[in-house]
Amino acid sequence: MTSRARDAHTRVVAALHQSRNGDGGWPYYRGKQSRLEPTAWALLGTTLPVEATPLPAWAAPGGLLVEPSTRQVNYAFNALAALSASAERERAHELTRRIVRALVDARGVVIDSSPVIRQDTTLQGWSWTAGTFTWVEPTAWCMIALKQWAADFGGARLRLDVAERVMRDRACAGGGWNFGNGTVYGQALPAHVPPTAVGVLALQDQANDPLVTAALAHLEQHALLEGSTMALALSVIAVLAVGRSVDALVPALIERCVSAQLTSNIATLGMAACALDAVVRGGRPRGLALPRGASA
Amino acid sequence: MRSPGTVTRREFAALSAGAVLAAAGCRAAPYRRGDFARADESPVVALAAADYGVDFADLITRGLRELRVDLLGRRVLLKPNLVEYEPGTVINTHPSVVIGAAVACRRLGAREVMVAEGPGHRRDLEYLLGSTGLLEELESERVPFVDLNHDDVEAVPLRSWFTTLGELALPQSLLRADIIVSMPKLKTHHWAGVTCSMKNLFGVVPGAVYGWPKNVLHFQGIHESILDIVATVRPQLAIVDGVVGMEGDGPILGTPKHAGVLLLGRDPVAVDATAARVMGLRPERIHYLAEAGHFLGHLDAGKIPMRGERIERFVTPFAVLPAFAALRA
Repeated sequence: MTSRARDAHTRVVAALHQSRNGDGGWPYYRGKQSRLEPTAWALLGTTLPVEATPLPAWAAPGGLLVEPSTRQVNYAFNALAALSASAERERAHELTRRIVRALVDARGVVIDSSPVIRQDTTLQGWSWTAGTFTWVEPTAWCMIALKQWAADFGGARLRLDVAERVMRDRACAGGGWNFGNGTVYGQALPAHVPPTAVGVLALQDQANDPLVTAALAHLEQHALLEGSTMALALSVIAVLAVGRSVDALVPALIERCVSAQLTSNIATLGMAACALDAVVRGGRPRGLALPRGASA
Repeated sequence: MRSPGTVTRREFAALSAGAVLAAAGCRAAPYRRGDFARADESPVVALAAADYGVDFADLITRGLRELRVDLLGRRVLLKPNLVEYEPGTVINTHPSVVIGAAVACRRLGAREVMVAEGPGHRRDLEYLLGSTGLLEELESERVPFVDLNHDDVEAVPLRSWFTTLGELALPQSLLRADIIVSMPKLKTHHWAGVTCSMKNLFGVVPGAVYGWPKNVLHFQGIHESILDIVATVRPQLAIVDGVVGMEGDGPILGTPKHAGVLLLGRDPVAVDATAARVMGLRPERIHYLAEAGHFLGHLDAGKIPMRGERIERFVTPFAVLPAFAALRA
């Protein structure tokens, strides 16, 4: 399987290089403008240095990166960019430090609670964009960035404690997470594979916690059923991060990469490259796996 | 399955729906009337489609000819409602209707036809397109799909100001289309009352800029956001999949409801008002439709000449949540 994974990885990385823009960044789809998320994933998949991309030039005075074409701050993608900038380093890149410092101060807004919902609307994790509510995926990505690179930042521990409560609050009854809430109006909602994988990554340092083991079980049961490149790649990354076998998932991921790589969303290709790189190395995902025994 | 984002959005809707619109009623209209010229009348075509086995390309071609739509040499963007996938549900515009519309547009001389959507819940389009069966249909007719969540964007000043957004980043593929066709599913909606061709345009707002769900729109108010988006995007056509709609706790968790109709029109307000009447609901009691009837299109049945089949044959009361009982005709 390793040789097939190596071939697939080579093809995906080649496709990433072919779709790279003249400014050194990556678009979501070939020929489009360079964007934050696909550039960060491509960095994780290719191990190129962040200086080879336009990301350092996108830093706003507060430290967060702002895409020139959208002029919006996306906290989830900033966290991902922070992780990608320091993926090959033992000490945080300055770009990473500035982003993470800003993320410590960013948070979702509180909304009024309601008697018809279980969700705790006072918990402030991270939103996708400023001035909106806390959601699972941006909270999870920011948790990974803070755990990796903010251990010595004042306030980081408190933010992570609240973020973990968010993840527990939003978990689905059957294990894992969806893009929103685990329960609405008394009805349990099913988890989806991509947010569940990101949730596992965020809590990889608590792999034996029942919350995480239930999420891992969801991935193992549903990743092949959802079967998309994104679902498979993120699942491989998450499962490898906690040191478990991905033998059941890798053949399907290779198959998806062969059939879809030249037309796919490039951020998704970057996820696949990152996952396959770890498979080929027989290791954990670069930039996204916390050091063993890590605890911010 | 319930929509995981339901609660937050419903709360936001409840907090804002009506309040801002009521305030708007007490001051100058939040738009320039001269920007929104309306025809004297807005015809709507109703065509019978008993099930999804009918030839939608033929049916839609007939409807578009009835409306005298000129597609010759035009770039057409079809925007279906593609939100979530759960087996056995009727959440999304049926792929047969979408592909039928694409074929019809080509027959009528469109230079380019694309299908485009930016799902507000799931961002994994590969999964969503495959599981719904739309991918297979698109490939069979070689119709391109544009991912509006991840398209390049341009900042566009809003043409009305019911929200305080001022501008929205909108996908370039949308902005460069000559003809935008909103292709919703006929559904009740647990925050807005009814979702049809106007609410369907939430899907053009890019998730990669605003997140999943597009939460900024909920904070600004669903009704207000619908008005600003429609006023700015100005879809030229609406084609409603009312073959099997959804009643009750729509747009995700409701129950299938057969109505057997396809509705087509140039005026989204007139089409949505007609859709509400098909569902046995009063459009003037739906906040965004009532407001839209002042400037974006016609709400009054007297201004909506019906073409095709008699609309009365399709009227079938849709169940609504208790909070929307007042919408009943």
